[in-house]
This record gives sequence, structure tokens and C-alpha cells, in this order.
Amino acid sequence: MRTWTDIDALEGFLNGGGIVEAGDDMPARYREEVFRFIEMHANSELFGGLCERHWVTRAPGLHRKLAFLAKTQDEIGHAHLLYMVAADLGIKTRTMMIDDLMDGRSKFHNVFHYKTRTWADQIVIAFLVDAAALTTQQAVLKQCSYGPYRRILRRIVAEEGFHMRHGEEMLLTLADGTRTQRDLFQDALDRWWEAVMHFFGPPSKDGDLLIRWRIKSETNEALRDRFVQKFVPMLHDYGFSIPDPDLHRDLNGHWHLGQIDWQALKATQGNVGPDSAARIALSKAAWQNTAWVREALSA
Amino acid sequence: MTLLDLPALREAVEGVADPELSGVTIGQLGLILDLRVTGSHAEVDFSPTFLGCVAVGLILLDIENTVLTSEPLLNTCHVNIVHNVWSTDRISADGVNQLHALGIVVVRTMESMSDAPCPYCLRPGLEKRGGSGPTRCRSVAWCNGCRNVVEIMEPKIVTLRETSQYAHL
Repeated sequence: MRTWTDIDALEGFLNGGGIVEAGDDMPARYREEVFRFIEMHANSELFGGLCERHWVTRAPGLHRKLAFLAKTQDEIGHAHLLYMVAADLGIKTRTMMIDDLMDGRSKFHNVFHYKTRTWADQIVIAFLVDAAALTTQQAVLKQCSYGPYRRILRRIVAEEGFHMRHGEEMLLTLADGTRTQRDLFQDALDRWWEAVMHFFGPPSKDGDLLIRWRIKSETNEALRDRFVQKFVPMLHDYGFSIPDPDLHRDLNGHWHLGQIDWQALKATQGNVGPDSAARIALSKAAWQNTAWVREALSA
Repeated sequence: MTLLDLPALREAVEGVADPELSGVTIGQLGLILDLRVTGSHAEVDFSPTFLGCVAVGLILLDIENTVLTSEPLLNTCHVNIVHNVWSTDRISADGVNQLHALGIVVVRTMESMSDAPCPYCLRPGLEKRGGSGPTRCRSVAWCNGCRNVVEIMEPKIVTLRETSQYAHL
């Protein structure tokens, strides 16, 4: 077990590339920041799975249904791993975290605060949101200072990469399809683009503790920018347009977004987004309806 | 006349990356059972780790692409999916090491489960937490020694291998 006299001593250790382990006597503020970050990640995986579950029976064809079933298992499985690491930090038990989430007292990713209206909405989530999640998680994995989190992330990131490939395959089916199928995707992209940009978070503040303590390795803008440089040209190549009139490319070929309006993100952060209440209620019902399975397994 | 290099082709197919396990190949996992070539047609026998694994679709595409791009003499490729012959004893020593590096322990027999060492601190005494994890070929465990989350690839109950053409594998 390692111990640090104060936060400065810990920062020195972290700046030297040090990795904090579960048994270390870490300063309370570091422990809280790490916990908050992992809890949010766990909540988002669980909500992702519970929301996606809705599409298992609605996905077109047996192949897609199976794929969604497995993806749901992946997300719930990731939540399971993450809740174990989060609970071990000793701030909240797993039950407390799940109760807080199901009662709307916790945060989860902004994209799960919106209604998915069509199959193409689900493809936007499976491709663009998973790609955004992968971008942010890869950046955490690169130098995350909390060992147990970094270790499970290595496995999670590989699986998210697989989801993205699957999402891309579904997108290509629509892009290669009829006018109606292409319109369906364009309509979904028009409604979801802003939420995908919001996914990376508002511009990071100077002295962001998550970056200072190497829980995250890059700022929100840097991650959003990396995503934009890769996915704007790709979506253009597939023949879709991005719903941002000020989006432009400079002489060096670098894409720049127009001004982002953060209002919608703020609403989701307070769990008062367009579909927050319904999503939370749906997830809570799903969680309660499956209580017997958990009870049977733990008997 | 150019002769087809069968061992090189097999090596290429075995080198296909598993889409969900970073740095692990399907050859290391022992998923390729056989590869035959007749004329310009290749036939691959492949076993997923469990029935209904969704990574199979992508793996099949990758196998076909690898076969057809690495061997110009071949025009067609078909992959047969074989069930109920794969278990963790098919994973090579390299594969076991690679999985270990990812925090996944390979257990070859049910009896050896209790002695399985934590891939991080190498101490035995992993405690199972829940049935399966993110994928159905792995279950989740906790190491009380170093307090890390570990995953376990458990042996499968295989009933068809002995009576199949793969009994020698």
C-alpha cells in the first residue's frame, strides 16, 4: 500500500507516470473524482444496454436481432465490470449506484436522454455514438492513472471497436439502399448530430481535475475535433450532409464546426432532457421486471 | 506452374484477428479446425467459442477476404461452422499468454478452476461474480488479492469432438 502526504505528492507521482492501485491510500479528492468518472461510465453502459434492448425485437431480420441481443449483453456486461471497480472505491455500494440511477439522481450520457424514433436513429447510435465513445475511451486508456479502471477499459475498448464495425455495416446497408433508406438515415443524422457533438462534453476548463490527475488524457475539444476530422469526410463520402451550416474546411483541409449551442446538453445533465423521464422510467421498469433473474442467480 | 502454398495460407487464416479480443488471433484461440483446397476452391472448418456468437459474421468475412486476397490461385472460399467441438484446451500457449495480458484467465479443466491464478498478481483464489460477462465465452471474477476485475474463459462441455473428424485435434 502506498500513501501520499498530500495532493501535491500524489500529483508528482502521477506526473511521473505512476499508476494508483485499489489498495493504495489515495487522497479523498482523487478517490472521489475517479469514482464519479467510473460511476458515470457504468451508468451509461447500463442505460445504453437497457435502451438498446427495446430494439432487439424491432431490429429487421434475425441476424440484426441476434447482433442487438449480443450488443445488449456487452453493454450490461461492461456495466457489471465497471460497477465492481466503482463499488470497490468504497464511496457507494453497487445497490446505491443503481438506485440513484433508476431514481434519476445520477448522471448518464446525454445521448440516452432522447427518443429513438426510427431504425436509423438506432444506427446513428450504434455507429456514431459508439465511435464517439470509442474515441473518448481510447484517450482514457492511453494513460489513465487508476490501474483497475485502465485494465478493464482495455477489454471494453476492444469490444466497442467491434460494435462500431457492426454499426458501420448497418449504416452501409442504408447508404447502399433505396432513396427511402438513405432519407431515413439523413433524417436521423439531422436530429442526432448535435447530441453526438455534445457527447464529448462542453469545452474543458483550465485545470480540469480529470486531466490534471490523468484520469482523462485529452480535453473534450481535442476529442471532438478528432472525431469530426474522421467522420465528417466519411459521412460526406457516403453521400450524407451534416446539419451544421457553418461547418467548413480550411486551406489545410481541417474541418471546423459552427458554434455549438449547449442548452440541450445542460438539460440532459439535469435529467430534464426531451425523453429523460420516459427513459428513466423504462429502464427502471426493465430493471424491476428482471429482478427475479438476479434473485434466482444469487440464490 | 505455380503451386499453392497451403501452410502459408493456413498461417494467414490463423492470423485473422479476433474482433473482440485485442491482439488475439483466431488461430491462437484454436478456432480453425481444418483448411482444404480443391482446384480453385478453399474450404475452411471453423468453430466459434459458443453457439450464437455474433462475432462470427465478421470473422467469416475476414477469413474469406484473407483466403481470396492472399492466394491468387483461389476464386472461391466457403467457411463451414462446426459446433460442439471447441473448448479452452484448443487455445495455444501463445493465445493463453495473450489473453492473460488482457486480464483473461484460461481454465482448461473444471477441476483446475480453484487454482486459477489472477492474471495481474498471479495469486490463486479468484471469486466468481455472476454467470457471464460482456460475452458468453467469458465469466467475471474478482481477485481479492489485488482487487482487480478478471475474466475467465471456462472449458466447455464438448460432446461431439470424440466422434467427429476432429477427434485427433
